[in-house]
Amino acid sequence: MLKSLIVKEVKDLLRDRKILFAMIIMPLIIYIGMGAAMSSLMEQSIKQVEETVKAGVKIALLNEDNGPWSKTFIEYAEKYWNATIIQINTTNLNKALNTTESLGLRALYIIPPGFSANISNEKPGVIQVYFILHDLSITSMGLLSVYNNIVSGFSKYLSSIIITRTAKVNPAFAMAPITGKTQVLLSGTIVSANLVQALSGQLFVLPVAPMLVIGYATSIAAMSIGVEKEEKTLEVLLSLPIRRRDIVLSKLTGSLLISLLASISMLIGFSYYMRSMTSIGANSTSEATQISMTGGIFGLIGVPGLILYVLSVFFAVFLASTLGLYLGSFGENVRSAQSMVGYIWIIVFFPLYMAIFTDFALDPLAKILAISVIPFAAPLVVLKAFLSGKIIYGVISIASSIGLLALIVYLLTKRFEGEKLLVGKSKRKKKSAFFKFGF
Amino acid sequence: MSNVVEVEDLVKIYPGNIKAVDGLSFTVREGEIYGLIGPNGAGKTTTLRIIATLLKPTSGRVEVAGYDIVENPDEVRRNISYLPEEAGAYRNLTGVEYLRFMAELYAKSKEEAERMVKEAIEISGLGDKIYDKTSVYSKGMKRRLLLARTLMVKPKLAILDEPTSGLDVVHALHVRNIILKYAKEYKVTILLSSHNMLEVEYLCDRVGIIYKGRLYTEGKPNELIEEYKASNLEEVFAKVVGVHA
Repeated sequence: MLKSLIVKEVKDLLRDRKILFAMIIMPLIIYIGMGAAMSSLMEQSIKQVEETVKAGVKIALLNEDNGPWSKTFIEYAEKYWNATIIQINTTNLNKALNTTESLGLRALYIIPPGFSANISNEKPGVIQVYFILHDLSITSMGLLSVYNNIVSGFSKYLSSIIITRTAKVNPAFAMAPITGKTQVLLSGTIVSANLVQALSGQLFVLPVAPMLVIGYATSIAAMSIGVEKEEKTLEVLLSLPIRRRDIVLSKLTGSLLISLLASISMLIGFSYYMRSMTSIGANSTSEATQISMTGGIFGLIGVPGLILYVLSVFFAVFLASTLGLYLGSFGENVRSAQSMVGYIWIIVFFPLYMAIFTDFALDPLAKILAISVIPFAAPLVVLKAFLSGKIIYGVISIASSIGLLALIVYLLTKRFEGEKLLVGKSKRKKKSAFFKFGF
Repeated sequence: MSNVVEVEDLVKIYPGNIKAVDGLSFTVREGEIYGLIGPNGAGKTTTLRIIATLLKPTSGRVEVAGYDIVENPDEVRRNISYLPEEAGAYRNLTGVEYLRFMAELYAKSKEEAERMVKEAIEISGLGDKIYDKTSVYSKGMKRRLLLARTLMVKPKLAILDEPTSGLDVVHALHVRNIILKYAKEYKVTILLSSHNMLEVEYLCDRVGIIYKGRLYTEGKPNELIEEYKASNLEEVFAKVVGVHA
């Protein structure tokens, strides 16, 4: 008896083409595709960093020491890192940073006065590194590591010299004769490298919240049309003295309100999460207060950026709801309507992560534009556009979302105007079609 | 007496070249109760759905209250009220909320909508259950609610697909009386389909027997009984369908 029941159950599920496609075919396509895409994106980022290193890094140097050990540092950087050192003559940090940026360089090294004297006296010498960051991408973070590695590499290099030359030396000093102090200029704010690492980590978590909200919104929208079919209310609804456009509008307004509530709820919750995480990443209390109180990454993009970000999330959620309603209309009941949108998170996930891997400062224009016009990437594109100061991409991204939204609303209205919404499109055998149409 | 429904040479072919309606022609006069009867798959529901503007004809012409269903579907919908064979109500709404929602779509004022709701509550005979969510309704209760919804707006044409489907004898009788009342007292034209020949004989002024999408015979029930030398409409139906099967 149990065997018969199981056979019936399996047959019923496997013969449903939508379930077969959604549950068995899609995962194969998705995870293979996702794995390939992610590794390719990661490889591209690593390659970009490697090529930069191979071509030789360019460093702005403010040498306030001019002693023998600072000269050793220059020789080391030139010899082992193929570095081009451009010396800057100013004592003002802001001026030095402005000069570095205007020269198109990404890092400013400051060797303070007394650097050589300290090392000669067996005291650690300090090299300050200011890294100019325009994006929190893998490539940018990789380059940040490269510039840090120059200092740590020099420390090891110097260590071997000291140990070779001096018979009796303080072991602690010999092991680490150089201390690197790295700070990052991000969106006009100087923050610690640790905080930047924390913010970069947040960036990877950032798509999770929109993905969840978008997933739920899509599912709810698909269910709303699936329920109409399953509960047999659609036929009456379509015969009422209401224009098809109004039915679509009312369904979309419902989705819109849910999208709005979902976006607000997500932003409140996520801002709290971001603040908490940034407090952990921040070095000092003042830094934590400075950045975390304004919501981590959100604190760096300012009010206009935040407004555009909220809009981008709202349009992404609204777009997903509309898409859910459209795709759900192809289902015959709640189960099949939801299976139609079960994997919609993939078309949200991919663009968002592609945006993370894209460096808005280093990548070619065509790549940045391509990412910007993918609608579901909008929340990340807006964020990165503001971080890199290239706001236009954020605007393009939102415009693209609105464009696709208009297209889906048009298709949805057409679908409600036609009869396929009610009877579907069947090219099955005569017997099953008769059964389906019920005449 | 003018025609509320005019169907002329109607053809409906579904994808897959499935011909559901094949050159069907008939008219329904104002205030008349017209019954479409036929076996399963004869094309009754498809015809009613076309008249209700839910499906588009492949060819032929259908007019309701003088409006072409293809050219003026919005006008047609203002003149009809349709009860599908398998219809449901929004499960999270109470019966009265459902009726109010529907009434507001037809009524010109709030007062008129409330009058409709009050009347529908009476038609449905659901009593206090009308304030319960429809998710707890039995099939029969839902059917009564939906019929009340269909008739409360006093449309020019009520299209009822198997109106007493799922109802027990007592409630089916109640529904039939309501249908008769609305047709006679409020001059609502009714086009219905049914498998229940006794019901059709009791309710309909005229009936059309369709089979394989075509109209095989049409007339007043008693005239058909006489013409086919039968004792009731069921025998007429069996003879017509038997001859053409």
